[in-house]
Amino acid sequence: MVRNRVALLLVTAGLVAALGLPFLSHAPNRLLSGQAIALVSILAGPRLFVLIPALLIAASPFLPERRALQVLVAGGTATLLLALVWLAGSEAARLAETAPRAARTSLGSAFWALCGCLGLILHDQLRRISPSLVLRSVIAAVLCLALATLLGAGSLAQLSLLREYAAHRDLFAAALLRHALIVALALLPAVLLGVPLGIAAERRQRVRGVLFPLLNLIQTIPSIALFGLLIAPLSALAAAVPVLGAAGIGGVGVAPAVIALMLYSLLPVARGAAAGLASVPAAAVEAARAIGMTARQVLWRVEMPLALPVILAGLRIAAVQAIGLTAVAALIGAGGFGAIIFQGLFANALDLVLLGIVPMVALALAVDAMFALAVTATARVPR
Amino acid sequence: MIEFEQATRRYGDIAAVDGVSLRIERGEFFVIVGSSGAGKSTLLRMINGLIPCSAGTIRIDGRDIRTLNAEDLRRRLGYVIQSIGLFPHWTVARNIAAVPDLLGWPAEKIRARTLALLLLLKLDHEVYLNKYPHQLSIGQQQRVGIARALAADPEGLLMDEPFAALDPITREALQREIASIHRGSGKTIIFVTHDMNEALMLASRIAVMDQGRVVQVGTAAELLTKPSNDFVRSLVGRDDAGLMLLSTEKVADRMRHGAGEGETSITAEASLRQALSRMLLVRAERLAVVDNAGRTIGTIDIGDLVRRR
Repeated sequence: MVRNRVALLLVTAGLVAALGLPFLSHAPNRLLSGQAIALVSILAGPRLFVLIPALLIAASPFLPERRALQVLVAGGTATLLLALVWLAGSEAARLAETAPRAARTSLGSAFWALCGCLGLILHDQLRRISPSLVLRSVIAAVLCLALATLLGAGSLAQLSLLREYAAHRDLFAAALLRHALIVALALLPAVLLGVPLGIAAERRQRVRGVLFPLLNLIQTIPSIALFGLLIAPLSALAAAVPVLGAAGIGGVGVAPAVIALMLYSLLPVARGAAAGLASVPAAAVEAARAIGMTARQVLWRVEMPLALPVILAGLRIAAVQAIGLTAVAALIGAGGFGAIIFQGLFANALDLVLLGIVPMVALALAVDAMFALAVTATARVPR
Repeated sequence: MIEFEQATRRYGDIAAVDGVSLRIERGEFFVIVGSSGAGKSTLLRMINGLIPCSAGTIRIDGRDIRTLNAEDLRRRLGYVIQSIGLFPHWTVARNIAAVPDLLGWPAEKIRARTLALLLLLKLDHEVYLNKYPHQLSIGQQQRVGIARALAADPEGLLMDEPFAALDPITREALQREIASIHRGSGKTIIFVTHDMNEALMLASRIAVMDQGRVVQVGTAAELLTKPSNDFVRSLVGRDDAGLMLLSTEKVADRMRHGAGEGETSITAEASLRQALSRMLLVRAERLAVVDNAGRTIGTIDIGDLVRRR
């Protein structure tokens, strides 16, 4: 009998992908399309141990809902995820022994589909287990550590993605730093401006009536258009005030990217602040005033601490959104992972595109998880 | 001493509080009754400036409250509301310490005061000190609410239907508690309720409000025996006003000391209404009166209940 329909769907999708789609693709060089390698064709010898967690997961939709079993399935899923990464790496290494130097082994669609399915199964199981904050952090840390070990030991070095990394090491480091810098520079003023604006909007109908339609309007402008719109005024500004131009502020580069991203971030941050304040129990605010707290004390001692989880949730959306939009900012010369992605696109080198996308997604997931932890940690009161 | 002189609060054309003049003496247990929308809560909130007067004056110890710093004034008057309003992110200890903390008391003094208040409100400090409000029952939360209001030893307490959300048993326990706190501390208490029985049980004086105006001020007995208009009469109950009157007096007030007669006994602390109820229940015209230790100290009979004092 099926006890977990979600898991059944994911297992089916995973099986179809594993059997029907290429797990790896082997090409004579980075520009040619490769030859598909199915997952079943590389399963032999000790690699067959991979089937143990796979069978456990395949059985999971039919298992009774017991915590011990759920923990086992979650552990099996995490193991299989890492095992697939290792499998891809080791097959790539085996192929590299005989192939010419220009040959590339890249990850196929079955690999990505399986990672997606397994990730969702893991998420579903963890949700059922509902582990404590500490346990969740430990699980995430163990997964990251295991992946880092595989990377560090060179087990994955022959995968085309890692070959691209090896070839563009300096470019990658610079892109990561620039990407993080742009996001941080955009979020800081967005918080400093957005939170007070959100508070004002929550307090006054008039502010609310102007602020949110305006921020919504900004949100509807396509990012590439907003970047473009900022070129003219910023160039003019840099020309008029040479000090700014000397400081690197101009029509293209980091400055317009940061300004545009800050404008995009204002909506989720301000909305979060307004919603957070609105969620504070009215009785607590009344009591705070009535026992003689000044308006400032009511805000800092009662309203802000109680609104913090919702404010952080708004910031979480803003941060993840900013990480994604920063990729587009590469088009106006701001740098970051977007630069790698576009370089790959223009050179028709798919692996280079992935070298930009994969770490960006990982960064977004990491930041998202960090904020999720912060939201839970600050929500000390059940609502 | 709190004085209202033609105190008025208007919202647009509607006067929530309409020209109220009152004098509440130090140490009174002053209860404001009325149906919902009568303006009682508004009147209460005008005392600590949560709602400013549109016209008229409110004076505390002779000083117009508009000349006082609002925060200082509020810290001098404890405040308890029906929805309790504990700070959900603070422990019981920190909630109680809220006002002393604002006043900058030293930590040692705050701690001693917190422990004393938990004891006064019958909350075991080992159990409750570090609990959060959501871990407490509503009754326990309101005990903490009262402790918070008393924390900085305020001159008076403002209470807005503090027990209306409680179940009858918890409500009665807290009514006894607040009555005993009033007796023990001599603090002025201004208490808003829509429950006439609660008013009769607790008040030293009662003000009846209707449509923003005070229609009668007096002791429980005055309201029951000489209601000034039909509204007051309907509030005190046309049919059972006599029974309500009995509930304002204790057996101890009317008993005859000496040897106890009667098969059944009642404590001296019980109300005359409870004594009558007991008589009706056991079909006896006479009850023996016992003290708290259970010793017989006298007699009360049905004539004692009816007799004019």
